[in-house]
Amino acid sequence: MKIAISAAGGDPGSAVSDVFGRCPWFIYSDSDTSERTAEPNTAASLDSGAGIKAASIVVNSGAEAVISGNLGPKALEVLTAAGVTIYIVRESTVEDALKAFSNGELDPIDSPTAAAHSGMKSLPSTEKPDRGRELEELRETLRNLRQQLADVIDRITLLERK
Amino acid sequence: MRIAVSSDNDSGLDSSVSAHFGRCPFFTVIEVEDGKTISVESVSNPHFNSHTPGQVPAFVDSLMANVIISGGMGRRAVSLFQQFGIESVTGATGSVDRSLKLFLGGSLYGTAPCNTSVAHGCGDGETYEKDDVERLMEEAEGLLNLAERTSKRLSTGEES
Repeated sequence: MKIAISAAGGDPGSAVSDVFGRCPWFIYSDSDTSERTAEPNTAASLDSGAGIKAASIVVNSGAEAVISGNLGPKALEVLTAAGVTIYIVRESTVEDALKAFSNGELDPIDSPTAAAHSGMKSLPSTEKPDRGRELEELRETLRNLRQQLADVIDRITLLERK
Repeated sequence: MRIAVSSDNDSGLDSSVSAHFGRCPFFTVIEVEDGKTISVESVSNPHFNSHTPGQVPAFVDSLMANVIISGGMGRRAVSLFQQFGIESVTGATGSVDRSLKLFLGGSLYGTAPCNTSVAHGCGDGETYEKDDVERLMEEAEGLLNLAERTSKRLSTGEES
């Protein structure tokens, strides 16, 4: 059976990631073949919906179990609906977590360990004020330019009338 | 058709269109017939520094204008002008000449009322329902055009 682990790096010596939706890597391990593959998590760069996206990536990979340091409510919903069992492991390497799993030492969870959006460094809404501020500054600049231009026009008109 | 354009200058068609329909020092009034400009005159705006709702529409009506063109206008002003039978057009920037041409050509029309103010305080920084960035771009282009036009006057001035 295939297991997916959210990881801080691409090799089994890396730490299990403390976030799921925006973890840098997913490491897949096949318990039958001992095959390991690592893939960068494409959901990490999304503005929103990372948890759902990461969960669907895992589901689509055919993994039947997932190991992560934390898991939010959205991801949990997707994984549970797909029948993927979820295990929480903290402060461990991927390798050690896999060992614990195969030794039957891990218990699955059925509720999220983290609030929604906990994995984000900054929430999307903080981007809007920046954009708003930028637009306001540009408007201000145009206002000043318009004023300067109007002054120039007045002065030229005066010159022409002489 | 008589068209009034809120203006920053009394330089006729070379004037800069004002951002706010009523807080403008001048109105450039253009008489147009069959798409041709018959006359252009600049009129001082008595309500430049302050106005109560209705004063500017009444004044523009006294100029016998059928249309008022400016950079922006709040919802209330739009309906006040409507009561005088005057059509409001906003979103104009740059030179009066350019705005006139765009209006006559059909590409400048309608009002996107300032959604920041109905009561007032619709300062020079009106926000529009159109895309913010698109709006900024239009303003910048209008100013650029006006700057080029103004530049030409300087060169002509040097030659004479």
